[in-house]
Amino acid sequence: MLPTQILLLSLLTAAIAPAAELFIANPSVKTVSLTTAEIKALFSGTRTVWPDKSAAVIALASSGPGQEALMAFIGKTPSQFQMAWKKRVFTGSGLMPTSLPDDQAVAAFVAKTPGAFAMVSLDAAPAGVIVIAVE
Amino acid sequence: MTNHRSIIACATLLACATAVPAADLDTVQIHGFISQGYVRTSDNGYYTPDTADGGSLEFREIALTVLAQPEERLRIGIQLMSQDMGDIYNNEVAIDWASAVWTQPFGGWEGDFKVGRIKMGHALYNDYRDLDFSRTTVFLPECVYFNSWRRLYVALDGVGVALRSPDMAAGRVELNAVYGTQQIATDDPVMAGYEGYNLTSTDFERQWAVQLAWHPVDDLQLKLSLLAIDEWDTYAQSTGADDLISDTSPFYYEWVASLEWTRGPFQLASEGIFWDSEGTSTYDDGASGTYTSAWSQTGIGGYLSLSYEVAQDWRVAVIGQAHNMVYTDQVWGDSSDQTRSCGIATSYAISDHWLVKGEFDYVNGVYFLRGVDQPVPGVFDTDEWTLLALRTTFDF
Repeated sequence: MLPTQILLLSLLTAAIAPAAELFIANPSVKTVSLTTAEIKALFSGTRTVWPDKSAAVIALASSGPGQEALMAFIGKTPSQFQMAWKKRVFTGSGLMPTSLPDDQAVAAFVAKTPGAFAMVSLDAAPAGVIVIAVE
Repeated sequence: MTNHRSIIACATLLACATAVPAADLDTVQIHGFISQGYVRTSDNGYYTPDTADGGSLEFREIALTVLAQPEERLRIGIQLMSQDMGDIYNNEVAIDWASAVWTQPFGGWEGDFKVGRIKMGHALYNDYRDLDFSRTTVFLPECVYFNSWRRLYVALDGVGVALRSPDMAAGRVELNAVYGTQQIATDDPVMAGYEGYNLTSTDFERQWAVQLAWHPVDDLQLKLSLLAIDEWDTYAQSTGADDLISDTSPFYYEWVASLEWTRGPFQLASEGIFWDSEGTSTYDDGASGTYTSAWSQTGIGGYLSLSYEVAQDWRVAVIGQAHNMVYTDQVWGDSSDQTRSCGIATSYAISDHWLVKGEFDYVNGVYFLRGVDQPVPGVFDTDEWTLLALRTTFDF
């Protein structure tokens, strides 16, 4: 019940704010906010756990507004993002993030995957997730 | 020896894999790449005499990587790799790395504890020196990334730890340390310096490497790397006077200072290297006795490269490098083992997974060339030569 309340609250907030995309996480995540640096570290693979030490599972859409907003947030082009992760994969430093066709698929993945974290468009109508605020 | 290493690596993976139920292996990824190059030189053979005689297509890399995360903090993986570089490597399939990594958070830090055949992290690019799509140039500068010595820089059989700091006021730091050994075959390109001798075995007691990387701001990395080999002994079968019997080197070490800075479409990279080694060689005196000769080698070099992203899929780069080495009793500036080069390169990504690139270099010096690769073995055509390289790579 609590995650749903958080989501509704966040959606209300989002309706006031200009941002049309938001960071979401699986309800198993006990964190409510992250700094920009922490989010960048999670999406670059240099950080692999949540502040409560549980494993973070990164997901993103292969295209669409959520992916575009994420790339703008972390300051990389999609090709730079891919390149950074290919380096990690081919040196055994990490597994490639889960890539899904669109924001709706990403939101559904986050809802069912413990520890999952992603940025999606509000248009994806994410349900069963919590919203992570940016400090 | 190669089989021995393979058994260790596979045993490590099997041990990890069997430690968890197969059903738990729900996160398995398979990736790979294939790269084909063409190299032509105006003079001198570059790893094969053919480059000076119409060019060579014997520049190829194929890799297959399997990664799994059987437990949320445990990651296991293996990469099989086949490489052909002129007359070396010759498409032999080998385990490039195979490791198990346990990630442990503590405070705001994270630690990776590794075992198996693990990547060393030495200098900026050794970990992914074989990933053609990770850079604009076809070749990495040999003053730091000496192709013949690739095996010494990529991975070792042993243990390692990598510590990553959280984001702090001074930025982020990463500390990486590895310790282990290598089993090098006597016909490995690493042993090219012993051309002409009948080697029977070579043995590393231990090898270790430590790196400290500092990211004061996003997109800027300063890194200091130390790699050391202790007790590198090589033995040979003498067939007559002045033939080598043994070569004992108590140490080889090298320092690399690195800088990588990305600013908008520009990427600047520069590294400087200093290396030193000494030892004693024992030779057959031809009369049932031996004589010894002490030796030392010291080298210094560096490069500067600037890459520019013309468009999202198109990059150009310029690069310049210099290296100088002195043997026993020589003085700096008096060595014939100098190499200077400058080059221009471009790469174009046809898709997210398909890349083509080209590079042209003017080179003054032959230090990085092997005598055995020359049209007339042991004889270099000229000190001034050019290199043209084309390459395409596909990954998945």
